Amino acid sequence: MPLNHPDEDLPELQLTLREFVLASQNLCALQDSDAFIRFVLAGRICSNGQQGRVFVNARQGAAAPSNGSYQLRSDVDSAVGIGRDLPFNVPLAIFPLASFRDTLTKDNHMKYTSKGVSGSTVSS
Amino acid sequence: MALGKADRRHVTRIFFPGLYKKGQSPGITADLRAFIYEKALRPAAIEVNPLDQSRWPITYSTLMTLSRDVRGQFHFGTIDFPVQLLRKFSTKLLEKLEIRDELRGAFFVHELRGTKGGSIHNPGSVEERRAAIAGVFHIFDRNLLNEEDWVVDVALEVRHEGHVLQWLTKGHRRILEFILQSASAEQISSVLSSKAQYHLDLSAQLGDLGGFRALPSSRGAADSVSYINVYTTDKSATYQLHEGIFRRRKAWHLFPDNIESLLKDLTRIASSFRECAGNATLAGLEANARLEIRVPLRLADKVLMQLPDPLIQQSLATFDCPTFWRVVLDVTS
Repeated sequence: MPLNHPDEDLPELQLTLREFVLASQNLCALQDSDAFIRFVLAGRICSNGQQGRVFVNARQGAAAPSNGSYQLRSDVDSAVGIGRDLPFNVPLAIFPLASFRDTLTKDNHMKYTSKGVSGSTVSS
Repeated sequence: MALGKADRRHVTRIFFPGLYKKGQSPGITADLRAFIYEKALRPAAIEVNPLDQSRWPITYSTLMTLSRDVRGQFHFGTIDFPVQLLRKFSTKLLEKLEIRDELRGAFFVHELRGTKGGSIHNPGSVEERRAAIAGVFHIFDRNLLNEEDWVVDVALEVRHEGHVLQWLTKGHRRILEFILQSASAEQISSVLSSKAQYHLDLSAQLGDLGGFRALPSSRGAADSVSYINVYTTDKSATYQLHEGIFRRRKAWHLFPDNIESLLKDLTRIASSFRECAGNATLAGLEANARLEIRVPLRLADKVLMQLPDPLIQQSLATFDCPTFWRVVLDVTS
């Protein structure tokens, strides 16, 4: 029979995260490194001489924390401002030689339309 | 390029839009750096505050020599500029930069990062939120700020004591609906299916678990949300600002000469995850679930004032520390 799926046609076994961990610990305890690697990397398990394919279902058996059992808090993680002013109320420690480490190297998800360059928008 | 710092968590940079060329290196040439120092930065500082003339190295070349140690490594010192003269200095500096075509239209970008620890408050309290914002902005004179030019990242964090919380990928739509309340179902679907606007971050390679980052662009405009970051703090177990053991590995690390060192690192990584799982004498490492959004400063005391329990029930899963960290260990090995 031609197989459309690249994987072998084996019986499927759905595991919760807890069951996955218990099974891997058992294989570890047996010191059967081949079986352990086949299990955690290839999702293969052998039970009573029968090979099976393992599917980890992280949602199975998992629930959200019940109302009242969790804590909720809020914070302000960062702030970014753009302008042509230095509006501080404390002295500014100026780098005569710009610190390379503090150069912006990643997109900070801010856009600013520069008035100095006609029609161009720069991501800053 | 970095201009200065007023606090450990802050940096102000100066941007030169004229130097921006799509797809090209953003590095500023040595010649331009010398020009900026000798014809703009130093003269502006000295004209505004002549008393400190002697503190500013006389040329860029002198400055470079002074900044290098015996091994040739750079050390970036700073010169404090008095607060009452800063406005005059900024005007003077920008004025001097206009002399050179490619430096025209320069502007400042002020950034405060990593302020979450110092701004924790009860989400439901407007007063506490305002106090937290005031704390974050303590180095700025709020009267001089144009609030429209500022954005803040406001966050909600959920903790389940003794547990690792994980976002469910299935719950992402509900989270977007909660954050982008003005967006239609079609707009939410468009964000979720856009490669540019939605980035899924799977946890432990499990398709069911993971956060996401979204840049909703015009689809977030009605709610004034420009960026969304939904993640869990288990990344703190592997997060390194420097290049460390949890760095990206390349194929050549598997070559015979290198594999021993890789195996040693793997042993240390595994040991670190085992410790995160906890034991009889050490409580495991928890992970909190975070939801961060970027909004204009004017909305900072109006957004994320609550996280409804039904949303938590639909979008989070909780695991005991040993189970979660053991899975991480298994997929790493």
